[in-house]
Amino acid sequence: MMSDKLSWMAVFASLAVLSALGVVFGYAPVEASMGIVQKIFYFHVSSALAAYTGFFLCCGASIYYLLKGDRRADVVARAGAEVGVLFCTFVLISGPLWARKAWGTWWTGEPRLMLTMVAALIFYAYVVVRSIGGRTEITRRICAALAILGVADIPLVHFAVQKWRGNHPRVLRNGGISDEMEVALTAAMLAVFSLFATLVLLRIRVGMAEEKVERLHRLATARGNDIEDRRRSPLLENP
Amino acid sequence: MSVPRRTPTLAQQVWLLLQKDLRVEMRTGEVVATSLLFSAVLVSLFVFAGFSTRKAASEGAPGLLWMASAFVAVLVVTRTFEREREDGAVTALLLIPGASTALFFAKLVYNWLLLTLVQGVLLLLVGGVFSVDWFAHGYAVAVALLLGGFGLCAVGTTLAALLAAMRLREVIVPVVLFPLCVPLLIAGAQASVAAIRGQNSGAWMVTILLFDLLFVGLGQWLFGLALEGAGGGEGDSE
Repeated sequence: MMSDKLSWMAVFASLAVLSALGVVFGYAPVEASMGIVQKIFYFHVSSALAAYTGFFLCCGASIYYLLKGDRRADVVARAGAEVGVLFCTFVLISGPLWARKAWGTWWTGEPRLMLTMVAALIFYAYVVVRSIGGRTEITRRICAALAILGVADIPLVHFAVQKWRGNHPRVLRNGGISDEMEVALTAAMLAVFSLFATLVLLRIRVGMAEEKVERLHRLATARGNDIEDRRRSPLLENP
Repeated sequence: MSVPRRTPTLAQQVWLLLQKDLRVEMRTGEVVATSLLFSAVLVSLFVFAGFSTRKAASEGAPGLLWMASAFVAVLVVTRTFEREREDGAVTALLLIPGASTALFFAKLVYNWLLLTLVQGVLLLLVGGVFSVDWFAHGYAVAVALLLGGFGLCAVGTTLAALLAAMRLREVIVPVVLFPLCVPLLIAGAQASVAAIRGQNSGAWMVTILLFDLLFVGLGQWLFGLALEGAGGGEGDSE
């Protein structure tokens, strides 16, 4: 049943992405000074929001996991981080492409740019630790802690870089876009978020399946290692 | 033997653990000696990379000072639990109920003391090479370094404990530590720039303090939770 629902979601996300492309390129006007490059903006902004949604999802699930020890929360945290990193990578690629045309440079010391870069670095590290650490209880706890530290850091990074410098286009808050552009942005948001939700749910499903396989494997070999594993502290492990 | 002794208070526990680490360090001098040597090498690299001969070299000096501090902090914190792990002493430490808070603060203060010592030397070296008079307008740079070093050690000690069992932890610790410390490094460097120009660095100091408070609080919580696995009991979905 679940796979049916997910398939429909995937179909919906694909259609949403295609129609968003249609609206962005067919309906929204070409921006006067930046030309066609400005079209990146619709997907750039939506992806940035999706990336941060993934990171916050990861942090929330991690807190729950550390407090309750529920493995399903850990699977959700992992899905949030991995999909968040994916969208964050897209943001970090699309941003410079746009900046090259709009500001004449690939990279500047602009606050939101640096904030996103730091967030991406923290969650890249999270994913790396996950894969190096393997599927142990200690790795799960370490990663939960990293996610909490990382997300707690985000407001501080934001404050520090904001105070340090600043000139990101404040398009949305100043009402600097036309109605057609707003329609295109809404379409892109819908597309990106349905894609995001589909990917997260898919990743959760894979994670749950992995958990199940592991449990079956443990039952089959009947070693019961995990109970011992859970009681251990990282300080007592051998690297 | 017969009468059970009173449990030491948190401060006493911290002091006992700290004393033990300091005594070992004073007898071997391992961490201090290697960190000092590393600082000297690092500053000489700054010289050979051409930073000191540029125009307005002193403008870049605060940034390099904080970068060097961060590097040294990695060097100091990754070895936090090395000795205990080698000799299995950590098993005994973790058996003491509620000792994780004391352990966290003892290791934090220990790392901070070592880092502060090395930062003092770095201040002299970088100041000499870049001809910067750090204290021309008061001691704000020293205050920033003390506060910032504490924040670096708070994050570093937490990570050292968390990643103690991780393969490749010598690489993973800096990879995680540096991004987390970005706000601290920005605030520290800017506070130092403001200080040597004789400007007000108060807002940056507040940023550093906020960072310290946030990560001491979170670090202490996660340290205990991650080491003892508070939630790892019956709530698990088995």
